[in-house]
Amino acid sequence: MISEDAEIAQRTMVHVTLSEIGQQLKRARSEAGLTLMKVASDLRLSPAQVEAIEEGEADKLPPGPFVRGYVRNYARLFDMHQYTDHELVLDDAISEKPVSTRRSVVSRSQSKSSDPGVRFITYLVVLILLALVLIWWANQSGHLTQLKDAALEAISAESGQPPQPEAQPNQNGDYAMPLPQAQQQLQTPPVSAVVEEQRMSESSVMPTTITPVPEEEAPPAPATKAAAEAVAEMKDEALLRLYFNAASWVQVTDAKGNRVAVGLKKEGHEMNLAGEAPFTVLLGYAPGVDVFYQGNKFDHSSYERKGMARFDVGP
Amino acid sequence: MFGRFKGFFSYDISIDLGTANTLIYVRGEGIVLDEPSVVAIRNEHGGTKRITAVGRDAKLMLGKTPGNIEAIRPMKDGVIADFTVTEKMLQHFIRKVHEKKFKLFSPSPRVLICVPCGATQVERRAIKESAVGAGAREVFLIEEPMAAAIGANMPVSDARGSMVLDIGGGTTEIAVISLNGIVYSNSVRIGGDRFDESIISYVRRNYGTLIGESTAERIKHSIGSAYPSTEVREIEVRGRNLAEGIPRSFTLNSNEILEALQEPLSGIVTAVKSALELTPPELGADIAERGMVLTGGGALLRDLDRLLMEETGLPVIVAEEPMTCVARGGGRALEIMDEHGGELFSLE
Repeated sequence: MISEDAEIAQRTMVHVTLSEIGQQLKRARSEAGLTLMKVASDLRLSPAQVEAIEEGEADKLPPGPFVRGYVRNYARLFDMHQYTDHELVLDDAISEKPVSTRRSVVSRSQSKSSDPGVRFITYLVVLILLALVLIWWANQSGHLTQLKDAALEAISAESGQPPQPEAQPNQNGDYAMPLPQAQQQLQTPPVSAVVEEQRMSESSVMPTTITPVPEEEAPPAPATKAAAEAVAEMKDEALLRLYFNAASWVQVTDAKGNRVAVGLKKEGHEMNLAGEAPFTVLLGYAPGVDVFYQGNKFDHSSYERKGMARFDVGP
Repeated sequence: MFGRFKGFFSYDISIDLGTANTLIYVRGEGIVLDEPSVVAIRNEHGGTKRITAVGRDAKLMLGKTPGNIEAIRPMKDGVIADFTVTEKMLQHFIRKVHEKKFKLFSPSPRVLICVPCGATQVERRAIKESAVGAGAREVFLIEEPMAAAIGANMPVSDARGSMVLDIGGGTTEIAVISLNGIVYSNSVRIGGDRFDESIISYVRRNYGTLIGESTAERIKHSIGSAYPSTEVREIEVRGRNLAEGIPRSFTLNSNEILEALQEPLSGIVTAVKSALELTPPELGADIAERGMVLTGGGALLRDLDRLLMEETGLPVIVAEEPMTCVARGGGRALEIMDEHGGELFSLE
């Protein structure tokens, strides 16, 4: 009788080769007087399979788990408990991997996002991108400070210093400005002489109420007088005037590629710039800036895009 | 993102979430947990419920609890019967597995769970969600017979039919496998629990005595048999006599238990026969040559293989360590999935 507290016996591993156990089984069978056919029918196996077990021919039998099962069933017929009650390890049975890698050729090409390799590369790429962004940001902030310095220089240039090394101050302290091409073709006398002449004519001949004629409308002839008027206008007004109704970034480059002005200007600021036309103007906030060229308002609304505007002003 | 980070400190685990027992296989470490799927819940004042014990401790309480404690088996017939309790139980087991190694973070493992092939989509989803609720980072499902076949080292990738019969606590799964896929599968809701119920009802009918589930299970383990044997084994048990209302002790023998188990056993035999009928002839020939493999706790019932051998005329083999075949097979499937991609076993 089994007591209620009976525990299931701990299974231990029994290492044995198929040929060894086969011989033991064959001996037990002959001692019991059983034929191969009888055992085969009891085990529901073919006589050839039973013979293969007895002879230890593992290659004629199915792989590991099946052979182990057959041997155990065979041993049970003769109550060989050392094999039936413990885990049987057949050292020479063909062990087969339950899943071969034959089909892996197809599936290997598809890497999952959860693969450790893919994950590592992803993190690496993200880190590199972050590092690049940081480097760019650091460079950009350095560049901005340079721009600010340049803007400060430009502002100081407006207040009396020569903005460009090429610009030569004349005797009156005004900057020598290159004239428009049409005027240059007219072979105008030296600027200082013309200015003197203009002052004299204004005081004696020209009434003060007469408004200056815009340069574009000025007739090419008579040459001398028109040129004198144009130069007079240049004397009174700068070639390019910017008035800031709102704070805006500005960058002005003249035809020679000299940066005439650059920097952030505050509301109410006014800039008078001189240089060789045409000017390339870049405005950070175009709606807040009025641009006057040769005294006439230049409409830059058609160049605006998302508040910014980049356009050329000049003949 | 944080879950992934925690994933570095968690295992890859395979769970055989069975009706009777839950087994957890940790990749690279083997079976680390084998506990009954039982949760004991204490009903506190104000209607709140608190988990008192899980697993082995809770099983000891089955049928012995006072009014405010109830011992629940949250799985029934291989699927979830109580979602919340299952989630809590899984959470407890996952923590228990991880507590030896990773204490700093709450575990966030990748989990592969074995489900009965007869489970509906709703039942599968419930299992998946309960695992996610228990803290799993990623959840994969694999059909139990496939995991069992892998765990039993059967040549599932061959172009040969392999038949596996997995007798669990709640269900019996029958499948014919070839080329890493299931060709035919069937699931009947007969398992170890039905054996216990049959023993209880047999004892009540013939002895007029009521015994509990634990006693019935002990009888089954000790003298349960599926095929007549010359050796008659006996066991002394105690139960409450229904007529007298007094606990009495009496003796049962293995032939009586064999008689008691006839109904569920014939259900399994019928299912196996119908599976053989519906198997394509080429694969049927392979099965006839090699035989079928028994896995699951039910395979430990004495002479069950002999019964099936007599009934089907085919060789029947009990796998090594049949109880852990499914969990081991699941763990192996997880490894294969990482090596060769998840589509090899059509994991969900």
